[in-house]
Amino acid sequence: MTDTVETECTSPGADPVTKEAQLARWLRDRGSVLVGYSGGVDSTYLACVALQTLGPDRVLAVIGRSPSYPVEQWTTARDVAARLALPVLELDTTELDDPRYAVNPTNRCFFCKTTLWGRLVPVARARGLSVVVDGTNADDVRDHRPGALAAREHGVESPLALLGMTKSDIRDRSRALGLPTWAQPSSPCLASRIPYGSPVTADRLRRIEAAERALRDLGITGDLRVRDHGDLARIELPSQSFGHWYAAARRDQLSAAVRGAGYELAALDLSGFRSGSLNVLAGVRVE
Amino acid sequence: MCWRVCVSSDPGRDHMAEHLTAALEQLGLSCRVEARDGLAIMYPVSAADVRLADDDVRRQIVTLGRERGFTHVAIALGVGGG
Repeated sequence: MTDTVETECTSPGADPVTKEAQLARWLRDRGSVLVGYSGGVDSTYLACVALQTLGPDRVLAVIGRSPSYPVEQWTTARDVAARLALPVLELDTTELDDPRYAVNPTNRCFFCKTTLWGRLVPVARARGLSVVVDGTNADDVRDHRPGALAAREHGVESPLALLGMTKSDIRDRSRALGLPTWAQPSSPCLASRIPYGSPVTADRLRRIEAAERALRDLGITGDLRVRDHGDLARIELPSQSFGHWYAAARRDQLSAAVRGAGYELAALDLSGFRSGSLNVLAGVRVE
Repeated sequence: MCWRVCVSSDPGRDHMAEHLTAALEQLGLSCRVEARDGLAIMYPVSAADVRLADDDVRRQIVTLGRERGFTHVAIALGVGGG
């Protein structure tokens, strides 16, 4: 078994509108769905198309809450769901209680998703929903995604990836559908900011979240990550904004923001934001 | 110019830091370097170098770091001149 998702795009050159029509057909064929919903770009789009295609009685979006899920994203998820009149269920997940997750191995996501899908699949069964789906997209399948194996083990399907919908396609269609998430930065869980092998704890997750919130409060927009190296917070910003934030007064603000969140030292990454940056540090991915 | 390398418990990493320090010296960048696994942290000794705002200079530094075994290079903020 590998940790990848198969892609079955029947029309690889298809435009986003055509892919969306394929997605609607795919959903109609299933009849009803439970969507693993985070309020991120992908799962919001998937939930929206499912709602439009199947109606509110045949769609349930489920939010899995845990310390690795930022409060800000939770708020967004609830707001967007309310705006769409999307039926939502919220559950607390307990991945931090699993020592196999907490020690933070390179396949940490497998244990997190095992916990999540282990909660959601029984909910789908109990409510008579025919399939559980997630927002994995076609770009994701090229990255290190051990969580995909957990999805497969639980029979969770990834229609966006299956139909070849890329992040760009999803943003394009989200914008067309009027979803407020269309331009939202990608938002992986907070544990992704902790180097593999370094334990994931509720305190560390809270500190990361507080530091990123403080940096956002300074006016940082777009992709932002605070990588937690123990006493050191390594800040990744879009590389084009390095010069702006490295100006003398602003770098003091950056430093104060992360120190206020509990770090002893702040450092600004010279390469800027890199998705999966810690996969490179761990040697899981080579650049 | 003032150069020093942070002492850590891993001779391999110290070696990497020393090599990067020397390479940065060739660029005229005054700092010390601490190695934490694949991460190099630059500590400016005096005022932070305005040249770091230049994309090409940062790319050069990152390339030098990669050539010496670092996957990431970052500059410390709020210490020394940084």
